[in-house]
Amino acid sequence: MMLLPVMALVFIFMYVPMGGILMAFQEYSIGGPILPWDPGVKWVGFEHFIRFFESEFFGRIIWNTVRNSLLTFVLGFWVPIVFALLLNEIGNKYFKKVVQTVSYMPHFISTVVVAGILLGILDYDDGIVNQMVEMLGLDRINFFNEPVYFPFIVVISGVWQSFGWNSILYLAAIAGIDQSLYEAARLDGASRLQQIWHITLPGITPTIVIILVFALGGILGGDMEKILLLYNPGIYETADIIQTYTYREGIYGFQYSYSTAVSLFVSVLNFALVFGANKVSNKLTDYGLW
Amino acid sequence: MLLAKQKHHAFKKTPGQIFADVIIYIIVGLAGVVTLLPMVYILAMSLSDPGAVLRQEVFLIPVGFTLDAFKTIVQLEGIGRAYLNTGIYLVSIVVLSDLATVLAAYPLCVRRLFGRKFWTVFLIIPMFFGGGLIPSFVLMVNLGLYNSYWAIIIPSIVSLWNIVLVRTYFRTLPYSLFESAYIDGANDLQTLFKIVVPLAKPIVAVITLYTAVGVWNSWFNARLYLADEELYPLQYYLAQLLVFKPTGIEDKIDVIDKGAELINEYMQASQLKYAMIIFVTGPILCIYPFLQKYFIKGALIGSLKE
Repeated sequence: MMLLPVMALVFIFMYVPMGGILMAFQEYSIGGPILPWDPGVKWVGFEHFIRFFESEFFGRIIWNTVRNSLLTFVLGFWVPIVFALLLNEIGNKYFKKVVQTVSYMPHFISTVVVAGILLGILDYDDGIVNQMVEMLGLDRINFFNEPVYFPFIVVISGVWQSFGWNSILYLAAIAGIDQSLYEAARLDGASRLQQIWHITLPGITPTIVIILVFALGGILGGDMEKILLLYNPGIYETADIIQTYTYREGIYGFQYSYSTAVSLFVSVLNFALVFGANKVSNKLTDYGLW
Repeated sequence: MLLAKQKHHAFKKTPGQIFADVIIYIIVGLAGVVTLLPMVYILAMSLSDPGAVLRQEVFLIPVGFTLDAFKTIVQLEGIGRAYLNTGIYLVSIVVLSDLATVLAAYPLCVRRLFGRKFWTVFLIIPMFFGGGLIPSFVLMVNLGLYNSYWAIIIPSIVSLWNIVLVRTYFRTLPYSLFESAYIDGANDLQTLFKIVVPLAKPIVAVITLYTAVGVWNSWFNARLYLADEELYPLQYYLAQLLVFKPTGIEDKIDVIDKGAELINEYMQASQLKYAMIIFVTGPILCIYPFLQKYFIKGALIGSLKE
């Protein structure tokens, strides 16, 4: 009995949209028929999928999405690990506490505010970054209108937002390491670097592997909200990712069926990736989602 | 000095180690400073004299301290409404969501529930597979909820992640609690709210905080489901001013001010944006350091799952 209200909500707002995937194989318009047994439904088979595969967007948005993920990995994956290792070496409790609290801050800031800050500090005319660029004797940079910069803006601000928060898991793993290992190592004359290398790092390796595997599983995900706030048609070439494309085509282009087809294709691919990631994780670390 | 020396001797630190210490402190300190810089810059800009902002004299310390930008902001057309809307969304979503979460998590821990496995799987599937943005949007339109408070509230009530989190916590409580009250004649609702929930306060605090921050910071559902400015939450109102209609801020400045200092306003425009950011983010930044341990607890429990 108690389950009913929640299950009803889950059914209506999560399972019904799953059924809505049917529209990917139809020519759907708002208010029109969608149920498979309705004779009014206009079936088009895989037409939308084929149109997507043949369009120039297919390669572009998938590459942009994957590239952002890879860039996040290269520029950001190691940051929380190194940060956690360094924090762990700090003896002063208060200093440690303050830095930790500060590093979590960006995690609590909304995407809108992050976008606002980026637009502010990177502004062409009065952004602080361009003031510094000019002081160095270089030409001002039009950050939001030149395609080259956009991925870096999104990724680096993402690293800024998440590195402190992501270090929590590593710190917890470090805290779980048996202290007697360090004592033994010290007695044997191991230096601090050696202790980190031979005790701390191996101690957090399972955590690193898990996070790595699931980062790979999420390679087709992206920070849609931030990109929607920051991009503009002039730089779609590098800025547009799968999620922003389907949103735009669907909501603003009214191409409900086409857009659903694109996102269905991607979520099938994504599901396979997560499934694979989980398998790998289970194998490597005995830890998985299921 | 002498004391400090003795201390070092006590730890048997060589000069090399002290040097390493210094380097580590500097790097970690720098990481903290870099994280903080953008916010300090925004704060300094928002508190400075508009002229100084315009002449680009401000960096990290306010120049010609004034609260004018904030005085203008609180008079912006629609901002009170937006704050109120966020309040409405926040309270209703947090209350309904907490209720839904414990109501769903409890039965999943009661062994006599019929089809427990089925319900669990029923709840887990949508965590990995969903219909996507467009079918959800179409559903909302077809239900007639588009452009109403409900469009924001209803989709946010059920959080599967929270249900799993709370269920995991409930399971750490002794199972006899669930059964003995029932045997003593209490019904399930009484057992849940009189016995289980009071014992699970820490986890309820965690999900409440997560939900509250989530609602406070969300804007995308508003973009998707709302057309009417009267319904906009604060973040979407902010998004309008910062991103979607960046020149709109001048229209929203109170008419009385407008006649008097039109030029001054123009100078303030970019500064007003910074002040808006502080105005909207302030509450969270002031609160989170004190509630940090709950957030961290949530992050850790969530990662352990099962």
